[in-house]
Amino acid sequence: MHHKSNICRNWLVGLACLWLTAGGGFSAGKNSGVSEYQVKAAFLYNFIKFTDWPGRTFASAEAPIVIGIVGDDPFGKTLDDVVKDELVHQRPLILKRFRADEDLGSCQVLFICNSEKERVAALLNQLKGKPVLTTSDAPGFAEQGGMVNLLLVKDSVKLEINQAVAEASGLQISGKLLSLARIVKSK
Amino acid sequence: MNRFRNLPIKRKMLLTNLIISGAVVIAATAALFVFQILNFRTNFQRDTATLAAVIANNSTAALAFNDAKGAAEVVNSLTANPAVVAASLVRPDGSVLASLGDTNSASVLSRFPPAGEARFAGWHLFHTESVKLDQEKVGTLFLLANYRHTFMELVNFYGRVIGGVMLCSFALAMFLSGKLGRILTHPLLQLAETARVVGEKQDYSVRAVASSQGDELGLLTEAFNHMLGRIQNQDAALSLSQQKMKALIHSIDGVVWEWDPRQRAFTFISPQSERLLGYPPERWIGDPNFWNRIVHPEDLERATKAAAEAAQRRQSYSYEYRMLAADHRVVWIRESGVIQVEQDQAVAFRGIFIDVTEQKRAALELAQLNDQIAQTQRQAGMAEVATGVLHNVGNVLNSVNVSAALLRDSVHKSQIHTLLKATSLLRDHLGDTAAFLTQDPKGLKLPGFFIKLGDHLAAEQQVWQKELDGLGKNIEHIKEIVAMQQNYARLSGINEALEAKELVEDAVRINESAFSRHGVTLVREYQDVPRVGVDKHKVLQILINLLRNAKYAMDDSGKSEKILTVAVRAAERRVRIEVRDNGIGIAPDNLARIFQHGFTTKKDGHGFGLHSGANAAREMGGRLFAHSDGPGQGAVFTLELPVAGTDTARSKKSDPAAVGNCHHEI
Repeated sequence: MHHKSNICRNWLVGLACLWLTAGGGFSAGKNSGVSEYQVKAAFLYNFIKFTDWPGRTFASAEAPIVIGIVGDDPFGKTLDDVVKDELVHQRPLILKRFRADEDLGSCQVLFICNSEKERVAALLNQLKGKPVLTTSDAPGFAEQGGMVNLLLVKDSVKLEINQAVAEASGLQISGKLLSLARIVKSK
Repeated sequence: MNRFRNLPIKRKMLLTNLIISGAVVIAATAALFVFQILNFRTNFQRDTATLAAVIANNSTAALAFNDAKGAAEVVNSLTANPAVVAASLVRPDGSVLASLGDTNSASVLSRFPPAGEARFAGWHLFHTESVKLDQEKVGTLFLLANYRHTFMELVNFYGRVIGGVMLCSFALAMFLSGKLGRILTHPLLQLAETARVVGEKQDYSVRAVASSQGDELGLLTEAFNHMLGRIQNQDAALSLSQQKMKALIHSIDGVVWEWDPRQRAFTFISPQSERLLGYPPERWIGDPNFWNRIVHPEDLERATKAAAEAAQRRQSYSYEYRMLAADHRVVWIRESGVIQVEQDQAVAFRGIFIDVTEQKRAALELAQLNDQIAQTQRQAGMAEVATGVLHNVGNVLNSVNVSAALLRDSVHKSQIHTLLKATSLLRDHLGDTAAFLTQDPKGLKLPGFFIKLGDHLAAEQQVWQKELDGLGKNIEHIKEIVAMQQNYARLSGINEALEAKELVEDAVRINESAFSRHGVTLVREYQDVPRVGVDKHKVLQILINLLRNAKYAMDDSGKSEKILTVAVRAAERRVRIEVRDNGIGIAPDNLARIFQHGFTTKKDGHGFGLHSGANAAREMGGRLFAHSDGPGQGAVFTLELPVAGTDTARSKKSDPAAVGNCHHEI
């Protein structure tokens, strides 16, 4: 099942990885290939693959996985490109952008942008116990109770996972991923 | 193979079990081994694929999130597998995320097959596995494995396993063979031991112990014991029978023998041989020409021929010959034997020698005696005839005597002397004869005297003539009688066809004078009968004897009227001559005995007559029998003779053996 789109995406991811191992920075002048948020988008996309939602989360087998972005979207078109026409767990991916005051429980993945740094605690509280994979790239997000944090450490994106919160919400994160990430506990 | 067969049973069983178990184990493990080896590569490939799949699966996150450390951890875990030579996780763009060993060189990389496939090259296996995250390829795992080590390990392993298993199985087999085999071998060994004891000691009273029943060994033991029992019985019976036979052979008054015609020597000779002929049995056995040596040289050829003929005919036989005993005695032997034939070949002669010397001698004596008797009889018969003849001749001679006396007397009284006187007178007067005759008174009387004398002499001559005629007749008669006697005195034995009547008349004639002297009236009753085929001499003798006996019987009776009837009649296909008298008859007790040899009621009788008469009659094919109503009632003797030309008219030489066996014929 080599879809053309798959190959495209793979190349994208591959390029991203290549760039990373090359240890290249983010400056557009230095490397016009991959940006930070392209990598994070790829990471986010891949993350979904390693996560299992509880059965009652979806209305049907074909119900899509909704990825919500709240705040100022740093991805631009990147995440759209990454998730377009993709299936994860045989479900299509839908990207939705939200404002902070909207109901965020309808998505399965939520990316909280840096712009909503102050409201993180409230948002996390709102989503407590709900099977929503909360992600962000702000430092300390995991300690605050966020599930996944995509941290940029020395020119490479590292993962921080608060497994306890994820588990409390009924989300199962694959051990393979856990072994790569730094496990963080809520403060 | 024979060596194996001849091993003792325990060892055989052990070896068999070992071989079986060894073979089974080898077969099983070899099968397994072969199977494993055949499938090794497949298995190895599968194992490698499995490994690759696991590693790939575990590398998804590392590849997805580009975590070199995580990837390296996963890849390094492959070091645990000694077969893995090299491995690398490669990003979709071809760059290596993590690697183990040397896969970086392009040459090595190029040998990997497309994703999802594996390729063997010598001892190496190149396996390429796509790492997929949720059906999306995130990288490739290149795995290079070398199965030589594993293979050798496997071989080693199996080798050791087979060796170990075989050792164990041998040990187990030996142990079990010993324990379980005993169940089988013990009774067998026992049985064999029993058999050995029986064979060694010849003791058939031993019995094998049956340790199982119903199975073949039990049956064998039973049968074995059964057989022993039978052998025991047979042995006893045989022993008994042998003893009996020995006793029997010893008790036989003859030499029991067995002779092998192929070896031409005796294979058995009973101990009597020594007693009979003086040669101990050892000399007889095995000496090929012993028999030839002890047979009398004169009889050897005949005996050998007889033996050969008997062998030819393959029948039982008996013949006699002389043997020379050790002390040079001549012994007459009757050899009687049977011939055992197998497949048309004479394989053994078995028989008995009986000493018949005494019998031979006795037989010889008897024959001689019989000859003597026959001769005596013949002589007696002839004597009787001669007596008869003599009687007749005597009687005639009486007449002759009388005639002769008469003649003598007459001649003596003859007037010849007167004539001589007259002639002397004439002589005296020869010169003057005429004067004498006419003048002399004596001379004148002479013519008248001569005439009277002439008449007288003529009359005398007539008387003499008559007497001489009678004399001549009588002499003729005598001549006839003597001639007849001579005729009959010739040796007989020839049968002729004769008239019975004539035979009777001949016999009567011989006794004629005796009849007339004793005042016997002869009555003749002759019928017309066919001729008889008989020996003239014999018949005459018999008839003469019968006639004389009748005469004597009538004499002894004292009756005044003596009637003797001779009759000739036909009876069936025979002719009967009957001599009937009215003499003293025969007492019923004597009727049987009169025909016995030596029986006589006459003072000077010899007793041959009736006995030999009966014999003679039988020899001619006829018979002689008698009947009497009792003492004083007379008797009739009948001589029955065969008609000439019939079967019964035979001429048989007298058989000396028959003498002494005759009884009266009624």
